[in-house]
Amino acid sequence: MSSESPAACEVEPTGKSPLLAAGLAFILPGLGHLYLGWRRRGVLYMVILLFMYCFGLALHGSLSRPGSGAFLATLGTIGDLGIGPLYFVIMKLGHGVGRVAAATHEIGNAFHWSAGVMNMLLVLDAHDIATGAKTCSGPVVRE
Amino acid sequence: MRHFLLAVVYSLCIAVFFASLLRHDKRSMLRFFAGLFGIMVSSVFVLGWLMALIGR
Repeated sequence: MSSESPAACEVEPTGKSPLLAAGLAFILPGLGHLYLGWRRRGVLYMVILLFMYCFGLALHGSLSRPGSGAFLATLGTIGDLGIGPLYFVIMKLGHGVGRVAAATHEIGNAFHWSAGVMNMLLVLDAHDIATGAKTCSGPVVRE
Repeated sequence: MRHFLLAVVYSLCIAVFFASLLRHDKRSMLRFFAGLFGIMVSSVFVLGWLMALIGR
């Protein structure tokens, strides 16, 4: 695929706190990357994930609530919680109820569940960048 | 048609996200994006065809 060796694009440890980077990434998508100085990617991630989450709700998708009992609903809740405090803000504002009868309900759910799970990946990515464990070809395996 | 467009928007978001997350240089990012987006849109076509087949 790429002629570039993995070592050529290794990310140096930033000297910034990995936990703070991961925490900021959890609070708002892309914020961890902005903190680490990855401005363009941070903004891109923020735009994509917030768009997907809000678009999913606009398509009448409903946020899963904890304690509904069903196993798949629990997975949906975990996915939704991945977006961080935004989940609780939307709940507090009374949005995210959705409309099950709407034709776009299921694809709306797919949008906001995916956004939540993708934000979990961003949290791990921000942590890896801060520790210098990220390379072009994936995490560095330290022996 | 509306669902097809929504699925394409979904594929676009996913492909842009993973291309920028997993690739660093622009060229391989573009190739990764094109591959993933192509696979996802092809899957949408196949699933749409299967659903139309079942719906008959």
